[in-house]
Amino acid sequence: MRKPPHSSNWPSAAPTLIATPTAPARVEFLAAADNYVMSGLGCYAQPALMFDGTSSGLSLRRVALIVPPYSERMRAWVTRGGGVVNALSPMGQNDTTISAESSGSGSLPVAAAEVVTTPAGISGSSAYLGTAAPWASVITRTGDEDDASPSATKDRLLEMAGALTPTVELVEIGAAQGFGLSVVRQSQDLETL
Amino acid sequence: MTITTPSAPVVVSEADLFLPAADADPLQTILENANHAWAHYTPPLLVAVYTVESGIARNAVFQVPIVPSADGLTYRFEHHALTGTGSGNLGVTVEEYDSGWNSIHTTTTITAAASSWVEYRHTATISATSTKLRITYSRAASDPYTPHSVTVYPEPGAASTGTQSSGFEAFDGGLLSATGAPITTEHVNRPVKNMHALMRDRRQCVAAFVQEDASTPGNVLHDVGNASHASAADVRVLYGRAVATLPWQAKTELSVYCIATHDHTSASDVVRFGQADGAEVTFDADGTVETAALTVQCDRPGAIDAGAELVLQGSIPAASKTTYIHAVVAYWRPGD
Repeated sequence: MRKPPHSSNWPSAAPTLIATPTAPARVEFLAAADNYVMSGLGCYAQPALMFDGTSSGLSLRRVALIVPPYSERMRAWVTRGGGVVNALSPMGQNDTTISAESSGSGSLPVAAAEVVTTPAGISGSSAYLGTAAPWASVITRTGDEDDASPSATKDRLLEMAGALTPTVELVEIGAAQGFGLSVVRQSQDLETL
Repeated sequence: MTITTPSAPVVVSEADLFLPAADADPLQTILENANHAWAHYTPPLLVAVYTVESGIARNAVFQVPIVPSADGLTYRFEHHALTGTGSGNLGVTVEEYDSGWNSIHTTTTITAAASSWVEYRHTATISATSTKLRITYSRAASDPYTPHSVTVYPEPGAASTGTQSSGFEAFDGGLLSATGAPITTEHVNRPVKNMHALMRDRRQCVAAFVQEDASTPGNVLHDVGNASHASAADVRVLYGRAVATLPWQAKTELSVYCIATHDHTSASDVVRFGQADGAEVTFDADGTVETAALTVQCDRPGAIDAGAELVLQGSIPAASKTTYIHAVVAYWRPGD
């Protein structure tokens, strides 16, 4: 019998605590306590990171992010911006690149083929959000193709270690002005982790 | 009598829950899993990718509001920087502010080869009453470098005896492991109380925009209103836009903190932080830590990737004036 992770909101109030000293030994008490602890262990938000990844010397940014337990696949939200140009001859921008070690080992770079590459989603000269005039910005989400062994860089899911404990993931982000991760797939059997 | 703090939670199978309702285990495992949470439930107190001039040869100083644990925990810091020419050592100093600035970590001996990424990891204890961190980077011989990011998360080590300020009270295995030891309601309630205490105590950073600090406002990479980014009074200029993930949430509340300054006699409500197409909060640019509560309605409500697009904007109160946004940080805790 597999044991899946908790898949609904961590309750804001604890389960009803046992108030009587003569309560019977009931399996429901144990199950509720176990569920409460295990669901809490996996409850992590992912921050909205706002930064200049456009100005000179800042096109590649590195940061350590906490990946919650049980996480197998993640997607990223990427913010891009630029100065608006003549739509008849738009200036192309480089794609956003994301290098994630996927193991919590603390080592980068990953192999070239493992870099996740997301189309820029915007044209025009690259500029930091509202600092150019006129300007535009867009948020795109990285791809949902599940390919853990890509032969070439592509837009795909970020694969994670899927462990019982959180991992610290070193991430390198190229050509972005905002970044956030979200878990999209957890391990479905905690007993196998 | 031993307090056990497992390095990983022990998964209690559903089958294990049924038969031994009156036995020590799996209750003891559940209690020790809550002890595990004390040491390994590590939502970040701060994750910030600095918006900073690249290749600087001066000190870079960042001042960031924080809401640390009530338990005065040890935290792990992970700094990343990229060096330019030269081989001068990097330096990092971290200070906390409660009634004044106190140094909690300092070094000037981080080896830094030319044109290389440098990761520097250390621990430091942040007192429960701290309201700000001040992080200073430097490089010897005026060699150029770019500070990139800092990540701060709890690393308190094994659970210790006694009731913590958060309400967490570590489970001592001796209470159940003795032959014939009774199972009391306290044993069954304890893991629930402990997990609740941790979840409510350890706030999670869900948004951050950080530029250099208020001591030299002109060092910020992007200000509002100078010649290169000119805007008229009260025109909103976009300074940050990104998506935060708030798993399983539909509607929740964030605590938002801001430090901003200005060169004007009055600069009220010149920093705005909010949800795209949703509620927003405003802050003055007076150099102090300002705070406000922001309610967000999540996209994809109730899903594992539920979240909200958050937006940071700045403005100036009058033409030819300047607003400097130094740090805006948002925190969340489950249950809010």
